[in-house]
Amino acid sequence: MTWIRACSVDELDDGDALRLDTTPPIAVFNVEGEFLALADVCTHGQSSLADGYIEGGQVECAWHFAKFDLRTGAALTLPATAPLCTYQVRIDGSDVMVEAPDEN
Amino acid sequence: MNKPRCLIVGASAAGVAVAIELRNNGYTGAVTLIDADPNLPYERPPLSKSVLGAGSRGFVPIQPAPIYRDLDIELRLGEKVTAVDPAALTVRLDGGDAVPVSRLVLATGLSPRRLRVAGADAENVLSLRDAADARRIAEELASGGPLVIIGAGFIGLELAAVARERGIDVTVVEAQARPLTHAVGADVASLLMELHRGHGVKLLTGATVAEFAGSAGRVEEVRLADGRRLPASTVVVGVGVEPRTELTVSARIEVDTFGIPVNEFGQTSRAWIYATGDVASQNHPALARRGRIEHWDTAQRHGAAVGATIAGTPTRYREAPYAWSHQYGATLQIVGRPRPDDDLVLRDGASPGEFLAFWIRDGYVGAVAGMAASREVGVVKRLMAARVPVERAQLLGRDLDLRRFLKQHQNAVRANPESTLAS
Repeated sequence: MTWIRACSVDELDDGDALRLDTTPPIAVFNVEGEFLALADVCTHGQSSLADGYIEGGQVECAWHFAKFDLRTGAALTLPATAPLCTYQVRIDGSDVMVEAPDEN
Repeated sequence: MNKPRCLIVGASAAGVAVAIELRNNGYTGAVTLIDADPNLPYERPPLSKSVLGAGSRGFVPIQPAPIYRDLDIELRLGEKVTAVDPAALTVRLDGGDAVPVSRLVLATGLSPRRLRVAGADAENVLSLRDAADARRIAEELASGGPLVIIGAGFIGLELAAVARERGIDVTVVEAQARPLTHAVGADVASLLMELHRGHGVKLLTGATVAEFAGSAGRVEEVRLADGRRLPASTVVVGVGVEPRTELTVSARIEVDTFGIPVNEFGQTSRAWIYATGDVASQNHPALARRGRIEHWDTAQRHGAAVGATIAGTPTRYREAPYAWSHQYGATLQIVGRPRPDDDLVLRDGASPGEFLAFWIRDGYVGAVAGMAASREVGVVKRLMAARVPVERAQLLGRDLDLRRFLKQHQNAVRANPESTLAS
């Protein structure tokens, strides 16, 4: 695993998300000041979860509205039943760092 | 006393959702899911979107196979239910079995309407409803075009888009002067027509088929009522659907002009028989009157509500109807049902490849359609559900941050829950 810089803490507002073009892509979310990183691609369709709607520690997929828990990656509603992979995050000064798979 | 059984006829989006939500809500009886289609239950939307793609040919399982075993859902695939015996509480299968049921769910869906013109039964006149149809279309188009699609509905246009992306010559023949107008209104329909024409689709409107002409059981030419002749190597007909209501006869339950009428919990005129998905005729708050809602999202949500209801948690499906379509790499999303007397606001800068359209009804957003705007559509869906008052001028400009606008409303409601926020 490799630590990579996702963004600065000021770049991502509460309730926003961004997508890292890693392999596989990772989405980084700001949930009430806490930064969380998960697989970006919904386990049901092919949609980017960084485009989803973030509310109450959950993200709702933009295409088919499956909901996931942002802390655990658990699939909370149909059409998804498989969980999302979660990634470690640490704050390094003003940088949000994500531990990505090695090929990155 | 035997263990109760919920038997679901039809293993597509609605039927599978019933089965899964039965288990998620603690149903302890047997759950049996039956479909005449022999394949592991698969998603239908990808069939028209990636029928010509490499590899999967658009075959995407709804759930991975182990889910059915883990949830103790019995799959009987490749078997057909031929009759319901409401006195004996059994269903009859084509193999002769009579299976006892305590709750029956009809998720039988729709079949494509056929054109009643000469040559419509030729082997290269196809429709697109299931995996076998998709395979036939892919086989025919492997040798190229020209492809003639009859009917400019969403399935026909998605197929037109994937065929054009492969360089196939595509003509779409549509009887109405302005296709899709009933679904998205005239202005958005014009953008979609422009999108397809821009990608080289020959779109003939106000045109109907007189006959399919050819030889040896294959069509070579589509002849239109106005005399035009279109060379064709493959024809796909998408001119509407009929509800599959055959089982209502032996079940002795009511049908209406749309399908199988159900109450708010999905029950038919016999309370132990439910109907869900495309075949259900429902009284949904977003509809001006009772009818079918032929969307994948509705099938899944209505099915989930029926599953929860049967398991003992009465649940209604009341969310705004939602449909999406992939065309030329962009996603079109529609939430709610536009009505002719709504006030359409097309956000500034609309182009065929990217737009956001709002339909204002009584001071609220009644429906929204977005192309390549999924972030915004997710927010507008919530503006609709929360009935946030909006004005035309706000929505017209591109400078309104919709997410912030929604948050301001939510914070104001939290601060003053009694207020209805008539701005």
